[in-house]
Amino acid sequence: MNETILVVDDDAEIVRAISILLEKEGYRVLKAYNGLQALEQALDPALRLILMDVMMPQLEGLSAVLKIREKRNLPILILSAKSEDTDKVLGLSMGADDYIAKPFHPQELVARVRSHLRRYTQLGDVNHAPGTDALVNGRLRYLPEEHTLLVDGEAVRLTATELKIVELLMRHVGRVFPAEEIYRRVWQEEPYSAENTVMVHIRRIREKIELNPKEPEYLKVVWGIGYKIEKH
Amino acid sequence: MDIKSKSIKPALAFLSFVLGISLLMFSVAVGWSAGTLGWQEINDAFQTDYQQTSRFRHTIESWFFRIADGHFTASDGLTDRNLLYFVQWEGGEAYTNCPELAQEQLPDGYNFLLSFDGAAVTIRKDGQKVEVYGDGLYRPDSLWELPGYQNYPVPSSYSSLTLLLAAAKNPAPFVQDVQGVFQYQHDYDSGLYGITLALERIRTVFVWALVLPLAAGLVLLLLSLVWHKHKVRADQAIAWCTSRVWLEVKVLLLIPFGFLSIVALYLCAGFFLLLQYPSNVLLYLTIPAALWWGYLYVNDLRYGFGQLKTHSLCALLARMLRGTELHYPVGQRICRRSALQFILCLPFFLFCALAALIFMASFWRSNWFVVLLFLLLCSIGAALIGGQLWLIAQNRRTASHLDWLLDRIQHGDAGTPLPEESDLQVVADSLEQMESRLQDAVEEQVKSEKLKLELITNVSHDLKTPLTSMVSYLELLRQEEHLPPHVQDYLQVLDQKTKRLQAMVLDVFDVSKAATGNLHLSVKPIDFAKLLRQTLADQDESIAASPLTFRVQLPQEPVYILADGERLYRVFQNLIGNALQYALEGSRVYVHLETAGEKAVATLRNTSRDELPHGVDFTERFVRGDQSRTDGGSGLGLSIARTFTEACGGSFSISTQADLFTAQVIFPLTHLRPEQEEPG
Repeated sequence: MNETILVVDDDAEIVRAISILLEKEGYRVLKAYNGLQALEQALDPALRLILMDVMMPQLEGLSAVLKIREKRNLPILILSAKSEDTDKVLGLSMGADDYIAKPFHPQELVARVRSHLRRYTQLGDVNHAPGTDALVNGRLRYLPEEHTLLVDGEAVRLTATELKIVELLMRHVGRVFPAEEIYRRVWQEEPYSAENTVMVHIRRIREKIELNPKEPEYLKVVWGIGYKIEKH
Repeated sequence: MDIKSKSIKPALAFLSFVLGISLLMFSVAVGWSAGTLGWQEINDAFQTDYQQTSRFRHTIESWFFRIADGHFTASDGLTDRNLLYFVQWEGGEAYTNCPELAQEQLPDGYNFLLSFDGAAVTIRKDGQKVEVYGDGLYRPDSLWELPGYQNYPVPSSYSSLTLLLAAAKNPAPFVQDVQGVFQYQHDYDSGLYGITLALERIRTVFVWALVLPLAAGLVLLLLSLVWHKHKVRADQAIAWCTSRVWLEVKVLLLIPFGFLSIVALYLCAGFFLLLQYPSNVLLYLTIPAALWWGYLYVNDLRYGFGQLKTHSLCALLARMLRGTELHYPVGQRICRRSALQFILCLPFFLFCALAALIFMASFWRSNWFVVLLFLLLCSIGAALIGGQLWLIAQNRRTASHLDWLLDRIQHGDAGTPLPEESDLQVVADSLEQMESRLQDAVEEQVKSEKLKLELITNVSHDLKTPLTSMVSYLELLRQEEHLPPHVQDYLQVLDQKTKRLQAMVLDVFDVSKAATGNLHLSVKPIDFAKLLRQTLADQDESIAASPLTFRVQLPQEPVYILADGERLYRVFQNLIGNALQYALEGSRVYVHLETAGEKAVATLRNTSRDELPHGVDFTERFVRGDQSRTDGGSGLGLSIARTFTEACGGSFSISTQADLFTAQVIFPLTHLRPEQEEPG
């Protein structure tokens, strides 16, 4: 596996902790403590992914991302203490692939790194995947003929009901479905205690597809209206 | 085209239109009245020889009959020599004003000779004999009405008469030095010169008052048609001017001018007036004048119609009374009061004027001084009324300035500044000072808000960075194997406290943002009942795990409110979390949603485990039921709930009664509905 990851943060202890975490997972880790160092290290041809802090001395993280993007096409994940939506949008528009707010959960960080690497390295495989009518949305890929949901290219084990819900939402990405409608379409009967039933399933699906089920990125609740899979 | 011609052309176009129509009308009027003359007369007027006219023939005929009937005798004579006569009755004495005539010899300058021999008339003109009787039958259209026709024989009394009449080729005016002019009892004028004069006058009138104006009028009208575009511009310019005149004035002016036009039309009905008194041409000109007066009215209606209603004295007075151009009731009231004051005084003025008029009417004959007094009173009255009007105008000005000030206070819009001498200048100045001070204060506040937010962001960053390290290394520690049990225990405590710290930092950040008004909201119509159901379902696991029973009562039909769903979810998440944490084990938690009038009221009740302290605002930051602060809450849950509810436009309240803890979230209902998103 031995893929190389660059970790950039002005806090040396954080860099060390992340390195240990990632090395335990079997990755090779390069370290940088400011933007300029990051630019130098980014030239390493073996490099597969970058974790980048935003507020750093010498060269600020977002500028470094812009500069690296000119030369390299690899996943860049931003680590930042700024957790505002506007900050996230800014970071993603600068060319970052993901935005992880500090303080992050170490396991979530590792899961995200894994997810991005898999998507990055398996990009070729994805195109050859069977079933051209696959429904693709970010990390998710639903194959209707095989009734399979692939997350980062890996099939997820879902129950029949969960699959039906996922299929419904994946077929209408972005559309908000009230619990009653989901109930009617999936269970094919008049809704009874729909909110609770649907919510339970939604939560279970989240556990299987989301990197951080507490802060879902795909399967979202639209409070006061219904549920949807967000477009990515 | 230069600017000069731009303004000259419309003027010329309009002028040629007016002149053209006027001249046409003038000539038509002249032609109409000339129609009373008859065709024969007009035809005669253009004969080169006056002897070819019916007037000449009538004059000669009348002289013939006058002499033949004996009305002109030897004792009478002519004052001019345009007509020569030789008269001899058989056996009587001959009399003449030209003895050569007896031999039928025409003197120089005479070319017409009528001779009557008692049986028939013979006329020679320029030595040539002229046919008098035609085929011998008299008809109404026969040229000469003289006896000698078959059906108009010579009366027997004429048979003894020999008469010669000679007419001058070019009649001359009265000749002074005729011998023996005044020797006769009666002196007559032959009337021949008069004929030429009359013919010439008709000719003149025809050429100058009919033909020339007609031609000139047509040419000018054509010109104005060619320049129609310019004429329209001139019309508009005129309408712009006339629209500024009060409607009442226009109506009043209609009376004298209309009268004048009617009189003019009446007077011009006969052509002879023009023939006899050429100065009457002025009267003819008044006919088009009436037309132009009407034209002004029509033009006014056509281009300035909108102004007609508003631009009148009555409308002005009404506006003054209403003060509708002022936006605020204060100014309107000031205007109304001052106008009313004037109107209330008017009857008194009228009474005085009437009394003075009656007084003068009775006594002006006895003493001229009374007239003087009357005039004096009149001017004093006029001055008083003028003064009143001036005062009203002043009041209105002040009112409008007050309006300006109020506008400025309300909208902060400066616009044009008040004039220097305004009554409210002092107020305006102090307002300006106040504004600048307020501006400074606002700027100061914005600056401090910005500073606060920066501080929060920085502090939060500075807190989060060490937290990240703590969390990461805790994870590493946990992954260590073979830790002694007591170390694992310490680790557990560290983990809990770190999590709490993390939650607190995030909560503090949220509350601070909301407190400084930097919370980003996406307010949409949502179903309140559904939101509560979702939140309860979301918390299902922790609720099931707790020793509490939830009694939920939510309406089945949607309850639509305007709120940010994400924030409102946090509100109820916190409220439920609060209940789970502080409610008495085994007790029941009641969640209700009901609509009352135009409001949706969500209530959450639970029985507290601990005794609730009295007089504590639970929504204050860091306030908790227990004072020891050893549990997991940040103490910000209710504070966040209140802040978020209020940020979304709802109201949040907490009440305690003994151990009963009640939280209420109230939102106004909305008529808006969530928009159905298009299937992706």
